[in-house]
Amino acid sequence: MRLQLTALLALVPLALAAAPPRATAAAPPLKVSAPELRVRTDVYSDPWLTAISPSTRATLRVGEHLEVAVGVQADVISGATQALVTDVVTGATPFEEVRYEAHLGATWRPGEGGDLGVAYLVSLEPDYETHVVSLTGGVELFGRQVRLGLGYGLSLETLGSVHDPTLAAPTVGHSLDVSWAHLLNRGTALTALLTLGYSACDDVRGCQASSYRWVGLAAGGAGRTVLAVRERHPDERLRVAAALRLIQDLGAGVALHAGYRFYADTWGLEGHTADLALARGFWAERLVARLDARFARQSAANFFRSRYDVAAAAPMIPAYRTGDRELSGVWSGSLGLSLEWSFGAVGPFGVLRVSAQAARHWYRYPDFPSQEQRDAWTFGGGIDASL
Amino acid sequence: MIARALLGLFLAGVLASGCATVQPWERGVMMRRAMQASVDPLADAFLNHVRTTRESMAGATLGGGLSCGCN
Repeated sequence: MRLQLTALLALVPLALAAAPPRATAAAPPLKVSAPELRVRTDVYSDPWLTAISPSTRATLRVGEHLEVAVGVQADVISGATQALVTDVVTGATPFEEVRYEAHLGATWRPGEGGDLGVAYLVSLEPDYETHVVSLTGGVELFGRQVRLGLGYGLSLETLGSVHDPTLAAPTVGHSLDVSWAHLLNRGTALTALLTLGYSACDDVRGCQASSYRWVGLAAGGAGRTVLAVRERHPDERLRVAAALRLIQDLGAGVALHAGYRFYADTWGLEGHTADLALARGFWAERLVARLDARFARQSAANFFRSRYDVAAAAPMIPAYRTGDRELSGVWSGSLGLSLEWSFGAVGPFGVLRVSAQAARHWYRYPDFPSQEQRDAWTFGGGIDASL
Repeated sequence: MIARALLGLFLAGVLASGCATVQPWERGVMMRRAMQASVDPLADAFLNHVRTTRESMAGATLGGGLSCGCN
């Protein structure tokens, strides 16, 4: 932890060194720019669940060096969820809930050579609460051909249950992000990203697990469930994710975007993600179309079992057990299309852009017998306007 | 193994091009909308949120949402 903070603080003098010399004359009054507004609504839909997610974000400049951003978002979720145990689907439980999220951030850019930012985010839902404070910093190096970024986040998550008001299991998380973006030539940019994350809790009932999921313990050749217990995950988790991203101009207004990410954690999960996109501008980029493809493969957590077998006479409860589909092995793919229209200056707006996205997602869980696949659509549209 | 190979490829690319200077007036291509990593950061955050609730992998991306992802 001390190392992370020390590394972040090391960016401060670099950013200060990039600041222009202080003016000796009386400072003019602070000017506040007209805000840039971004409004959009996204929809997720699969056979079990529909989520409608309106969001908005406003950004304005205060003076020459400070930028303030505020955003709010809601997820209106309705559907039905499978209940009880990993090997027996007992039925669908209808539910409806709303999640609210708010974000406030400020970025200080003392010059063209660096920036420092601080942000706070809160997310509230009936059985889950999250608070995140993050610090970010970046410096431009080598004639602004390289940008080195560093970020630290502290999160406090509290798991609850609508059926048990006494349950409040906290998890504390730390994350460190490092990025290196390099302009290789006039049409090629390469970015490396590294994330280290650590989360821990010590609630006796076990946190980092759902308060609603139960795990069936099976006995006998037919796998008859003899006991159902709450799922329990290890109380600590260390994650590492590393990614490379390439943006390449292909000529004729076409850009290639490619990325690869490696993921591993101390629960035994290991995953690979590859994505590829082609974007093309038309009519002097008043219209930009982008086709995205993504493929991901994830191994199961080392304590995940399709079925937890125990001795019928004296069943021993496994220390760690889960009914979480996302901790099983996963194959996933998605294909999406985005369109963006830029209208330039329209009425009171200096710039007006309208965008729309649609994507199909395929998820396969071959080790999770009660739901081996889950396919979904996402749709969205938004307006981006500067006054 | 794959990660090491890609890291080596990245470092080789950086070393091979580290001395190439791109002047400010040569950066028009990088400013084009089609070259931007993100069309809309709010849309990226939404998709990241969907993915982190359908997979257990996270990190090394920009944006994202928060929730238990229990559904």
